[in-house]
Amino acid sequence: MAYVVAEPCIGTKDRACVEVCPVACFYENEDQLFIHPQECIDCNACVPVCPVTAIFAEADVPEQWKSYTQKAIDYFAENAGVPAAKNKAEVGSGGVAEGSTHWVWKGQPAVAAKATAAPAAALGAGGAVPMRFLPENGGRLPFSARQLLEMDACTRCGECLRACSSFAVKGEEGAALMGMIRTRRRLFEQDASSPAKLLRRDGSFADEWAHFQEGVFACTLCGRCEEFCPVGIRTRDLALTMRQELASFRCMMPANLELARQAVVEERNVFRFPNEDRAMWTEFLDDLPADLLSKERAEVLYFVGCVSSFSPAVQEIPQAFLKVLLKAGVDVALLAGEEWCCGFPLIVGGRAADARNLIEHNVEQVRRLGAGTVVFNCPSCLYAWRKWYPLEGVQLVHSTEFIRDLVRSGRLKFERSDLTVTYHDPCDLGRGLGEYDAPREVLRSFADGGFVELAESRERALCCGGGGDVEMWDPELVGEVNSILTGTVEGSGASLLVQACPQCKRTTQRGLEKAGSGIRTLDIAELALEFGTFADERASSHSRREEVATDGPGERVRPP
Amino acid sequence: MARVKEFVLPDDLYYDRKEHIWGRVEQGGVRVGLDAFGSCAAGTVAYIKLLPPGRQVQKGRPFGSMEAGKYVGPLKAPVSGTVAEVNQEVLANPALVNADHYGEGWFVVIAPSNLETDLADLAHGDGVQPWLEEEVRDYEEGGKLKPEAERECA
Repeated sequence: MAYVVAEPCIGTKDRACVEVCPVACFYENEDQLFIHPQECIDCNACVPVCPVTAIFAEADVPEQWKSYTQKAIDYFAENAGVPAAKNKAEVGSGGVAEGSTHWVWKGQPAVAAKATAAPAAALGAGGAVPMRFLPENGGRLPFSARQLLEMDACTRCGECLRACSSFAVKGEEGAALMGMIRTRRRLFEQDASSPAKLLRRDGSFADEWAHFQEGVFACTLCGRCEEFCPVGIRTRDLALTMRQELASFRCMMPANLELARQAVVEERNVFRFPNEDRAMWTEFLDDLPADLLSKERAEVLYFVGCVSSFSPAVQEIPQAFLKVLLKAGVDVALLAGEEWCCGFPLIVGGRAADARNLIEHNVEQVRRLGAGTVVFNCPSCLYAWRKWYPLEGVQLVHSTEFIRDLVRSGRLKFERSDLTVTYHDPCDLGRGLGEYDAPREVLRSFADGGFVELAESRERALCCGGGGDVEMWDPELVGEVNSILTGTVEGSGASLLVQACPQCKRTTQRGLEKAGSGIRTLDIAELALEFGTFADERASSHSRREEVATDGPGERVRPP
Repeated sequence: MARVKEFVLPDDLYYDRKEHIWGRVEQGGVRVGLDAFGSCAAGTVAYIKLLPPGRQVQKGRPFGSMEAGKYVGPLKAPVSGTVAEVNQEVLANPALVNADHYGEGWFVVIAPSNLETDLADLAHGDGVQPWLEEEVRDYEEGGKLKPEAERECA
């Protein structure tokens, strides 16, 4: 027996546990809920959601409630074949809004419920916020019909191995999509006899599942293999669904992912930083508008993201972008402690359901401000918002696009530089969202013929190693994947690498330092701030020059 | 002087039991740093940001942030007050935190506003040894610290 429901459940029977259990192993009598000792997979999902702290790992059951372990054994001895516990919707016990998540559908027999409950729940089926990542497959498995066909279509040609940096480092096929598909196909064949078995960790295949898990969580989800696959498999989505299956359906995930999940649930950010101090990076800046963090209305919201807000390695990025926004005269607001993680780390970690309330909260903040535009310097946040946020009529803009527009309109000008500069496409901005041209337009206006492409760029840009949450459990792999990228940066002949993603910059500046390279890295916002002049500044410096020349007030030049 | 295995924690300092941040009460305020155990658990420190002098800090809230091999997160103040001094050397060379925990690797000096109360829940004197023993055991058992033979952070 793994987990035990103890006395606090009596008189409460909240059923939040029933809602989150991925294997529907809760049963009940009039007084309390019980966990089936053989069906429980020890995933711990029910423990944090219990409002009265009634659920304990068997070893941790408090002394005064030890008898509840035996009580559960007795219950199942006397009630073999009893149907699974009802969920909140089935008993109509408030707390669940109209149209909210239904984990087990009404009227389904218990066995069928087991086969369907977890997928629907893990993917956040239904609900006040329509989740765009809900697969249209009836919720039986997280794989869509297309994805099942894709797995069947893989010809094992090995092109994805050629594309994959994780494979290049580890030398294990399981880390590339071809290997993941191969293992999963084998598991399908072994499991095919019983749909119910698909939801269980069957001991006989434990090694295969462990192998599958290891490969799937070594993938940085950069999607580069998608550009190589000759049969058009949407590799990134498929790898993401595999993670969803493992983490949400089977509770198979790296331990640190679970810690990060708990951090987000409790602190609203993956770093377990006190979220009320999220805007601490602004305390290093002078002359900020007094109401920056407390605006009630604003035209533009700057959604900063966790890495930029909390990592001291890249704090200059939000500082620079905020200054760019202010110099451009934007009516901008920050959410400070009301900015919650965008949900991206949970969704790519395979725990999409846990992202729901984060998304709802952030959407609510946009509505509260009445903002028509949200700007981002983090491509992963932007990716999450564009793909999974239910927002209509709100513009979602990346810093590269914002700065490109400033250059186009003439409000930002660069002194043409003789530096040789190159650019690295972040996976979530490039392959993820198709934005390749905005940063290049900016850089061509900056470097006088000195813009060079990396050997692998645009659709085939190399991974920085920082994607797919891999840093949480395998930082060494991240460093080695990054060294492949930094090798091409060093071979480019550039002295300045411009990036457009805080996570790419974190990993790459560390990689370049480690390699003893003299190449400097700057985010595009830092580039704009350091090398660009803004229309208002040009006007005032022009008028200052006039003042000096005429020794008088001179005629003020109006900004364009 | 408290000592468990390779970890040495002077018992005249005050320690935040959770954060492994130490405070040393001096004439000009409370000097603050990361203890030997925290430094080992975090790994080599690569980046640090510290609030500039004059900023208010509250006990338990961040006075800066740190990124190390195995840690990215806040540095939490052991006492409330005002940042009086910032160690510019450690900003330029963050690995000083690992090299000299109680000397050159300090972070800030805080001019305390509520010293006596704030010190009350920090480990100090005879309380340091048993707490450190418990921490080392918990971290080793929980896999949060490499086994003694593989550690390189004496």
